[in-house]
This record gives sequence, structure tokens and C-alpha cells, in this order.
Amino acid sequence: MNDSKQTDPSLTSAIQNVPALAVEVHDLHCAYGKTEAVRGLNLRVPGGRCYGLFGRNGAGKSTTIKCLLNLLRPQSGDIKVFGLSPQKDDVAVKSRVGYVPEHVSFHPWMTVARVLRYHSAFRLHWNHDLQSQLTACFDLDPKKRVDAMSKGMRSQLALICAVCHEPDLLLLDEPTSGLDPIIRREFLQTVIGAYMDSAPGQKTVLVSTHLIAEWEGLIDEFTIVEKGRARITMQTDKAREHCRRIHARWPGTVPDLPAELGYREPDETEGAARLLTTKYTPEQEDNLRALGAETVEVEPLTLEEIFVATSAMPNEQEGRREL
Amino acid sequence: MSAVSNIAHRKPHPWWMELALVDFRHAFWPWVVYMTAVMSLWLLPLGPLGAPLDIDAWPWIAATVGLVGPAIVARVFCSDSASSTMATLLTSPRSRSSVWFVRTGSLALMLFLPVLLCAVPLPHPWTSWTHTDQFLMAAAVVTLTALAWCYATVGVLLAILLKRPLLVWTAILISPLIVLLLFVLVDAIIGLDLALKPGDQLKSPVNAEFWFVLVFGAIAYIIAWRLWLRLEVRS
Repeated sequence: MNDSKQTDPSLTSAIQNVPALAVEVHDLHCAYGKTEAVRGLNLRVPGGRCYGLFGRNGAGKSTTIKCLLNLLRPQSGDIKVFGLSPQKDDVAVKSRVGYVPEHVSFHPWMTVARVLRYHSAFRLHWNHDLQSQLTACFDLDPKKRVDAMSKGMRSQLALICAVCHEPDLLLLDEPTSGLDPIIRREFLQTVIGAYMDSAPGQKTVLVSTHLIAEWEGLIDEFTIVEKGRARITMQTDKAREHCRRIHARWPGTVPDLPAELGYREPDETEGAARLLTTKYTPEQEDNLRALGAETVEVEPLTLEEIFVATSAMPNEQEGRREL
Repeated sequence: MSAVSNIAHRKPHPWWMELALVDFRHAFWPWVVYMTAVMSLWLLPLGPLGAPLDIDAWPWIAATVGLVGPAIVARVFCSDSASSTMATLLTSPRSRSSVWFVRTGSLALMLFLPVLLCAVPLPHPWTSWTHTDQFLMAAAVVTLTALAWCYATVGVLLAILLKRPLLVWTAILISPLIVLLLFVLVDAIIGLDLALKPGDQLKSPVNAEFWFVLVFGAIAYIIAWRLWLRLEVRS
């Protein structure tokens, strides 16, 4: 076998039994009655990565995840999970997927142990050691009834149910909303980190959230969804490299600035301009100085700032832009 | 490892048994009420002293089955906590047809069990009925129960699919009326008299007893559901 074949990502994935793309969505349309929640969404989630689906409330994130699980039937579009159709290969897809819904609910009369036993009955494989570890990690009493548990504890229990069958793809729909900061940190670093590290390159996480700051450091790639469409798709490293805020100051009034230098944030002070760009290059600083700027400062953006900045920027083109 | 982590790993039953047991447990108290009502109606005519009471038990049983049966279905399918079961089922690697088969089977068993028990021959005043009469009565009860159950299930499923909780309440509250309508319809089509006594002329099933069952059943329904709802919200 020659070296070039071994470095081919698709072949590597095939060897590891993980397709290059864990999730592929093409031109997805899904509506609730007359309200169209998803309008032509395109999404490509590479296998073995932690992928963020960012967007404001009502952007269509949860609807997309439900379509991936075949809980909702889209009006049109093509969905593939590990190369399989969630509708046609329902059982095969779900056997490889774990899901934590936005609103967790269990039978109130069940104990923690009973909930776990109930969920494990439906799975072909269940890691009891992992169950014990996570139960201990979250300090959940197996004898405690669900109706005596807080919302955070129920979310933890839902997460245990979702990961103990060791799925290849973990779908998380706003998993940390309602959790306190300590539990959130535990949830993200301990559980998601451990899940990803359990089989490096083979476990994929797709998380839908608008609490982006918490996922900083875990997300490898993300798509910002707006009004049911993918507004922008970026790899986190490249996003940090290319998305910048540029502060420029002129001795007098700010001259007309060409659009390619970036989006001008509206709340400017006299003689100063703040530009947001998703295509940063050092030449932009030179160009600003050439336009008479006295000082030019560039600051990197966090994921949350990138999200806010991108949402604030006018939509140049409906559809998607990839970096 | 802390004591908390030492969960006794009880091996789960097969998934279909777990599902049936959980559904049964979830509907346990309404089922107990239902079972008690149906069995009491069957046994009451014997009376504590062996003196038959002056009621026609079969129409009462039929009405009770029709009225309370959908409540059990609704309890299983539409309470807030049942969404957990739905989520578990719909996201589990089990085919939907097998899941619905198990749920249908376990619910049918819960609903028909008292009716089947009522079919056990007893030293009853109605043993003078012909087998045809008994068969027709049993068939009517089973059919009407099944229809009421289907109606409630369809209503609940529609409500879940369309995300319209109002439909659930509509299904629950209207189902007794549908049952009554079906009684009338069945009577009109095949002339089945549910209040039939040996030697009696055929008469309409829409008699005082039925109105009594309908009104009190509907009131009981509303009270029961309000209580359940309050309990669910509190939990």
C-alpha cells in the first residue's frame, strides 16, 4: 500500500469505519404548518470533530437536529448521517446516535437507577463502568426519584443516558441551558472531553447552542445559522485567524472606507472607526494607514464575538460562505 | 469509588417488557380505578347477600370501559412525563412498528383484561341469556372500547405531531361523546339493545342510565385530568 493512499482522509475514515462526513445536509427545508423553520440549510459535519451549530433562538437549529433524528420529516432536502438516510435507515442511524434534548423529562416516579435501566434496555450495547463513573462524577444518588431532582440533575441524567451506549455521534440541543456554571464546566470538560478522547478521531459531537462562550476550546468547526439558512461556516482556528476587529483612528473625520476593509460597527466615536472583518490580512492595516489612519489596532475575536459580529453584519449573500 | 457510584447493575428486561412495565406503572392508578369500576359493576348485581341489584351491568360496563379506557390511553400517551417515553422510543434503535405493536398490545391488555374477566361464567341472573346475546354484548363492548381507544390515540398522536396540546384535551373530552354516538350508531345499524333483558322488547340504548353515565363520566373526566395536570406541573 502506498503512502499517498494512507494519507487520503476518506480512506483513513473507511479503515476506521467512520465516514469522512458524519452528517451531511443538503438544501434542507422544514416547516411547521405555514412557518418555515429551516430554509435551504446546507451542513457538512466531518467525523471525529466537535461541531457547533450556532444561532439565535428560532434560527432552526433544533429543527435541524430533529430532522437528523427522523423526529421531524423535512419537506425537502437530503440528509445523510454516516452516509445513511435517517428516514430509510432509521434503526441503523439511531443505533449510532446519542441525543440530549433541549427539554429533558423523565417519568417523575422513576429513580435514577430505574431511568438508566430503562434506557439501557433499548440499547444493544451499554457501558456500565462509564455509567458508574458519570453517576459518581455528577454525584447522582441512584435511589433518588426524578421528581426530587433539580433541572440540572435531570440534564446530567439525560447526558448519561445519551453517552453510555457509546454512540459515534452525540447530538446535543442546548444541553447547558439551565445549568449552573460549575455543573456546566463539569459537563463540558469532563463529559464531552472524555467522550471525544475515548476514541480520538471517531467520536463526533454536534452541539446546537447560543451559549457559545462555554464551548470555546472544544469546538473545532461551526456553522452560524440564521433564519433557517447557514450564514457562515468556519473552522475555529481559521475563524480566529481571519475574524478580527480593527480599531482605527483619524485626526479628523473618518473618510469613506471601502467595503472590502470590513463591516463598520455603527456605534463609532468621532474620528474613530471599528471594523469587523472575516477576511483579515495584515494588508488591511496598511490600507487603513494609507487612508490616513493615525493608529490601527487589531484584536482577535472570541467565538461568541464572532457570532455576534457575524449576526450584526449585513447578509452580503444569502446562502453560505466557508472559510 | 464513592458509594454513590456503586449502582447495582440490575440486568434490564428485554426492551419490550421494560416498555410495557413502564407504561403499566405510569397508568397504574387510573387502571386500578378502571378495573375496580368494571369489576364492581359486574359483581354488584350479585349483591353482598346474593340479591341481584336492579341495574343492567353490561351497558354500565360498556360505558365505563368507553369512558375510562381513553383516560388510561391519554394518561400513557399525553402526560408531560410521557414525553420522556416518547423521546426514548423515538430516538432508540428500535423500529417504530415494533414499538407501536408493544404499546398497542400492552394497552389493549390493560383495557380488555376486566372485560375478559367479566366473561368468566358466574352464577349470575343473566346466565339465562342466550350465548348469542352474551356474544353480541361482549363484541359490542370490545368493539366500542377499541374504537374509543383508537380515537383517543389518534387524537393524541395528532396533537403530538401538530404540537397542538388543545387537541389532546379535545380528544379526551370528546371521546365519551364519540362512544355514546357509536352506541347509538351500532344500535341503529344492527338493532343491538344494550339494556336488553330476556323477553324485553328492543329499546333505545340512549336511556337515563346512559345520560347519567355521560354527564357524570364527563365531570369525572374533567376533575381527574385537572388533578393529574396539577400533579404533573407540581412534579
